[in-house]
Amino acid sequence: MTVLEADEPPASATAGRVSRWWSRFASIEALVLALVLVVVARPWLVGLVASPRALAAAAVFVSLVLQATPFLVLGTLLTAGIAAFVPVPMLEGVLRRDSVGLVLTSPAISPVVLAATAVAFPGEPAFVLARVVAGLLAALAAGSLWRAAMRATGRPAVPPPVHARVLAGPRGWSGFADRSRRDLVRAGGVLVLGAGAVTTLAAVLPPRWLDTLAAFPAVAVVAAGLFAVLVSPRAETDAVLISALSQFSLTSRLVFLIVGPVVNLRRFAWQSTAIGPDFALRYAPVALVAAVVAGATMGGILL
Amino acid sequence: VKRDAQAILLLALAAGLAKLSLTGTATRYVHAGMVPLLLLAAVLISVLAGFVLWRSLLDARRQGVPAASDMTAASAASVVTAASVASAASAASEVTAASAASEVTEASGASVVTAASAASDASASEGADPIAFNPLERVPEPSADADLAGPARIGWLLLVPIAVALVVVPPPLGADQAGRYGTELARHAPGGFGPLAEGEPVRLTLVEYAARAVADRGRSLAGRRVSLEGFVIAGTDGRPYLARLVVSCCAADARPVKVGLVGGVPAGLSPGDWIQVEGGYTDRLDRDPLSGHPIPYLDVSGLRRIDPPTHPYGAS
Repeated sequence: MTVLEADEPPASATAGRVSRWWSRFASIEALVLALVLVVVARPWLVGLVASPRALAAAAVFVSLVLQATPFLVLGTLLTAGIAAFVPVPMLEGVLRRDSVGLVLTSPAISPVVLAATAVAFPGEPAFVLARVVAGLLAALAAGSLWRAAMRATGRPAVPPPVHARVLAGPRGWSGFADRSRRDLVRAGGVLVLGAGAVTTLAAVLPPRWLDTLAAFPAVAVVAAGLFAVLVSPRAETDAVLISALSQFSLTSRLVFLIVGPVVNLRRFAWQSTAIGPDFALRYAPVALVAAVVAGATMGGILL
Repeated sequence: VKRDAQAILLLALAAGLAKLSLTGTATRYVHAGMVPLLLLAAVLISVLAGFVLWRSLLDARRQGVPAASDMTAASAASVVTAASVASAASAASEVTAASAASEVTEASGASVVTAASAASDASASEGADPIAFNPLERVPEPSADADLAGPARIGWLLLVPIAVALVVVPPPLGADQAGRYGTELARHAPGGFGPLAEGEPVRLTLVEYAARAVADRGRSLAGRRVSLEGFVIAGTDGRPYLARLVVSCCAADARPVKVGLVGGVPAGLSPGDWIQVEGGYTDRLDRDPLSGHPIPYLDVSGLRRIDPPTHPYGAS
């Protein structure tokens, strides 16, 4: 639990002068410095993106972030609201039940996520339905794979320690504000990374590369799954990100949405440090295959 | 990113969202229907950030810490408030988006300097141990989402889109995007076509003209004069095409629909020019080498330059 919660170890505890010097600049001062730099470097920044292609890439990047942000805000507030205001016994009841898979992929199917998906894929109601069904299937699979991997690596079959995180921490309005502020800033940063990756694929690299990849259905499905692992988007924003890669078939884009919440790099890193690399190496590849199969199957049936 | 800095980062994000939606710049990047949601997000984020800053002021006062950290937080908050006020004001006075953006940036720049000096005063007055002055910062803060564990430093990246949107202010996608992708007609072609509306010429969207010309082999267009709007792109063998970008989710998935122009097309059109053309159906077809989809033609009888429309994209 300590591993999980001490996200920001005090820098001064381990390091000497250098990190102390750095810690002076680690907050507001650095933010202010960054804003000043942006203002000072404005002509240079504008000159940097003077070519039509660079401006188009900038527009693509901004549009992805802009489209995803409202859903990210609503999703974050929803999650933080549940953690801060739902009575603890009720939360505990839900979490202690044997719904490991659902907890593992918990934010994958919320009203906000479904709304974001419906907006990102207008005129494709079957796509939203496919996301719900395949998401549930993948969650069930992830749950049993989690327990199997726990057993195989000789650990007691405990549920993922998400519980501790949800139940710990201040509740009420301050708890709500702390959680949502922190999650929003982090998830915002992750969104920016994802938007950057998608912009690179959609607006910087030659379109022919993606076209070639997308032309083979099986290759497209696998590529979409691996891309989800790398980008690790939040469920509220992933539909927006993948909607920009419209060369890919609906089925392969569904796979992207199903894989993301189940297996991704951030989770893998967290499982390796918090539980153990042997566990992570055993769980993640199988869960990835299960999520790809769930997505591809439902895509084949419904889309 | 520490607590106060996170709150200020969020205020900057809210100010950016508010500015883009109030000035109408947002429709360059997302559907007009998203604008109310963007405003709602801006309000929610500012309330959240305001609450965090307010509590941190209270905490600091309770700890008996003199107003040093308060000043930083308060003046930095005023930076962002000033920026949002400026943006709202500029929206009201309908300044062009680019100059409005520069005003906001300069306004915030000016107050940022105030904040910076306040901040340096703060650390100077604290003396030897600048990190110990707000013990609350070091309380571990559990997150509700396990996979978000890890340093919150990644949140700094939020500054990138804010800077790009407010400083660079990318123009709407246009000729460059349309030249990069092949025409995507099949995706937008509806089923059957009724007769055209009354009037001579008939105003059609470029997408509808292309769909009727290709799917119906121009039957519903025969003998009629139509009027289309779009921007110019370079076609094959130097002849201009007229194009329109169609968006389904946001500008990131904009794909072109193209119509070739023959007949009375003046020289001197350059890519990106918005024009309105009048003319009639002709059965000539190109095939777009990029997508393999057909590009129908219009036999032009009249042409004039127009201003770019407020909503630059067509809906699918």
